[in-house]
Amino acid sequence: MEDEGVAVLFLEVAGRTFGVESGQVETLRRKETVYPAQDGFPGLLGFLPMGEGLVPIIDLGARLGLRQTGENYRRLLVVTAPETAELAFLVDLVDGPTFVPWDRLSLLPEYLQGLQARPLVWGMAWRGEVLVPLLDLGQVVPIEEATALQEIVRGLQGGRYGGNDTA
Amino acid sequence: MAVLTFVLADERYALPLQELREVRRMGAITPIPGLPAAILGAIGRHGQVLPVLDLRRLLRLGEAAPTAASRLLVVQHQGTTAALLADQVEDIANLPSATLRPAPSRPSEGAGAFLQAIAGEGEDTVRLLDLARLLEAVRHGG
Repeated sequence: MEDEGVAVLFLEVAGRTFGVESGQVETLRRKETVYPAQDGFPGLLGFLPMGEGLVPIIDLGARLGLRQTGENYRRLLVVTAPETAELAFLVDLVDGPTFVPWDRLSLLPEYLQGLQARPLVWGMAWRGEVLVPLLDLGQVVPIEEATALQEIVRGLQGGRYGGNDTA
Repeated sequence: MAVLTFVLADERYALPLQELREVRRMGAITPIPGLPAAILGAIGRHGQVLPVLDLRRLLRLGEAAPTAASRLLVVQHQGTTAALLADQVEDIANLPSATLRPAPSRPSEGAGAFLQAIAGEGEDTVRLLDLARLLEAVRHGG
């Protein structure tokens, strides 16, 4: 089945729809109590306790340069699969996964690929008659920033963050 | 030279007809994050995804919301196909080579940077755009 298309989760963020390969998503969570972030990391909203660890929560709309359209109480956290760095992204709505056959998908034109600073959008999917950009969640936060976030998490987990510094 | 004439910010512009593939009404344009401001987004055409370029922004002619008269000019240069947003399409015209004058100067930005030639005088002035230069400018940050 997979070689005939891609399973896509459609995410609504600040009034826009994006698609992500469902394999990039480990789990979905309702917005819940989180540990708030205490520094100015771009788009960092807080930390989600998962298992025995903490996962940084990123405001996907802010990272995509979108203006929030107002509080949406249905907001969800999309937690990425570990191979793309474990991060949670705050979105307004999730739909799917939906199987999208290859003839309803297109790679981003070469002309546009060359204009992206990072390959954030890898393709476009037709959803009905509407084109939807397909995001690579692993590119939303550059690797050096993801590494810095992991450092913050390690600090939090070691009690060295948020006023609990025992070092 | 056969050209399509169109209007941007109340001035007349033209593109060679041989580079034009289609004129379309404005439909839904899907914005794509992380691209230069001169890229409005993408449209689908015959199963192909095309970038939509904002000519007003590229030519530094000031911003204006699209109207019912706005049109997308689907153009092709070498391997690149793109749609250009124009305020209004006028006509197909023939610009005899003898009437074409070289652009007076080529500044580094603004509409003058993309002119291939000029034809006519006064209100009849038609500015012939250099499509290759337009596409290249977007590649370098628009």
